[in-house]
Amino acid sequence: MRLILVIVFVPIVIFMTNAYATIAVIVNKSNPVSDISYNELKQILEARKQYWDNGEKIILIFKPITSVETRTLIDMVYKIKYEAFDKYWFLKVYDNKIMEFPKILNSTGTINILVSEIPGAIAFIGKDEISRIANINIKVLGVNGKMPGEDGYPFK
Amino acid sequence: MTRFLNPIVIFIITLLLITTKCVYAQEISADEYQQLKNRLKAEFMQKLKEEIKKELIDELKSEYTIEPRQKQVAEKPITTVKVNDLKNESKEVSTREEETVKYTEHQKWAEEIELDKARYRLGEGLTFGEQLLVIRGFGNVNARYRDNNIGEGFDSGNNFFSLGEFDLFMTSKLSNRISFLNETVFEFDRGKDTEGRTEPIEIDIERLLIHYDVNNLLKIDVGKFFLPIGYWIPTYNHGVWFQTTMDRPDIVNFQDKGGPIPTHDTGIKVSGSALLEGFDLNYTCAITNGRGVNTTQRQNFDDMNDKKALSLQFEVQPHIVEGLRLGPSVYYDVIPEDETNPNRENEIREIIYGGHIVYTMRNVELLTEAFVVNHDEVSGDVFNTFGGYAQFAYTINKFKPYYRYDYIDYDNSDTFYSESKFDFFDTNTHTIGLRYELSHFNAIKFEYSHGVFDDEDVNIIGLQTAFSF
Repeated sequence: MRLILVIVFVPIVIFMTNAYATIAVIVNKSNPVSDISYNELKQILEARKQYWDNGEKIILIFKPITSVETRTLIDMVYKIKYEAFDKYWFLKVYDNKIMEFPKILNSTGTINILVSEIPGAIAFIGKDEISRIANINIKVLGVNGKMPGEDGYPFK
Repeated sequence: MTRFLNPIVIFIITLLLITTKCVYAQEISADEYQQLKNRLKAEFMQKLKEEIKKELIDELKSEYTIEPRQKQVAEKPITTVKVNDLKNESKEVSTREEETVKYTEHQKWAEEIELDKARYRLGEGLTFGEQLLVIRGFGNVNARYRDNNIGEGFDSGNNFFSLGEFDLFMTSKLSNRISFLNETVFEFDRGKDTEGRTEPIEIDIERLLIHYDVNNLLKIDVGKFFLPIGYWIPTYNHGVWFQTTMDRPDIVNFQDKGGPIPTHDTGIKVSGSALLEGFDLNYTCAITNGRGVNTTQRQNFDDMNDKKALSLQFEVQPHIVEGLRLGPSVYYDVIPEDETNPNRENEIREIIYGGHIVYTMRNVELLTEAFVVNHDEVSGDVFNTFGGYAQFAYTINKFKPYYRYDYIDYDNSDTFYSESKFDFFDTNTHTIGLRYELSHFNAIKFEYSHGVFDDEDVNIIGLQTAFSF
């Protein structure tokens, strides 16, 4: 009986823990970019590109490492272990490649406010959370010409 | 017959059920029951915590939707209760006071938001009162056993504990594009200080710089920094916790620890990245004071000659192979003559050619570097030193087994090295080890190395705990 439980539930648990989120990339409405290529987004996420083409400094904002959105990014883009995410950024600060750690914020509300206030901000939230930001100074970026939820959108 | 069969079937089923229940009852012992109880309790508490957290987050979110809420408060008629009697009147006053307090708080908060907005528009993001100094640090403690002592610098016993570095790393943002960085290391060294005491603590300002971030193509550092030579020097340097192994490769060891290549210097450094189609091209160029008369003399305050050192490095990161970085570097300097040493009467022109191929992706870490140090004395003698290393590591959960091969071949007649206070041995070393991540910021490293230093065999076993705080 126990064996059956193990056989049935363990794969389900593993599947659930590995589930990815559909991520929406949000930026300040004043940002002239409305669509971004996956490669460019990867460069931004890895802090290789630190300025938008209009000269604004890019401010990266993540949800906590425990969130499914950030874990999806770590798996798909950084390709490192979750535990190594802090070290990844610490090494960049230590090497003086970046001036400070990316901002990590718990609440989508706070993320929305910061993105709406900082012209160069870019944040990664769940697709389901887009509806909550309709009236704020924020827009959702397309990636490779696709919007979140559409076929061919890379973060899902 | 069938009349009797039904009670028999019912009896058999009942018996089976009882038996099964007994079996299961027997299977769960008191300990297991307790464990089950604890687990269920823990799950319940976890669920409760999550629900509370969710509620708090929702509350926080609603707090942040300041405009609608403020609007709601503003639009809400203050006289919501009819003034019919004294009781109602006092109730109304109380409600009004609460509303007023809420409204004032929200107004204050909205003003703060406006202020922040203005700061970011100015491109500052900081005011004097908000400027922060972030201090992080590194440390390590080692234990070692070796079966052979070689050279004058190794006159201690065969097994010992040693304190590594106590490294304070400080950063502070001066604006969105300007920052300060300092790395001060307290080193516990053998030997004697100026007052004849043994085991002095040496305080080294390893990095002290101001950083100007102009754009992707142009970043400027002014002060003391890591030289852009190869991969290891500008990447790991003093943070022992960052590096996989216990020690640095011999070829990139610190100058004041007997390393043949300069690692830090004072001057100006310009760097940037061009994000091109198919690959990223990173460059770094530094103009610095250069070396003093020997490998250990620092030139942080002034320069003994007017000839500056020049470092130039290019690095390519092809998009087609994620995690791959490769590129050449070159360092040029004129080392001043040492008037106190008759064997060092001439200036030495030093050129260091370097190259690295590095691949770090997922669980794999592959680092390879090679250098040629060319010393050309004005008298006409030319000396070449070759060196390099190859390191491979693979992460398996919290474990990271690794292997490194170190090689250096000095030109024994090179007076710059032979007249130094350190022994520069030809090195041929194999190192195997295991790193274990004990926690997020603490790693234990255990390694064995077999080295041949100028034809002498040395076996070393080491254990290190390295941490960041």
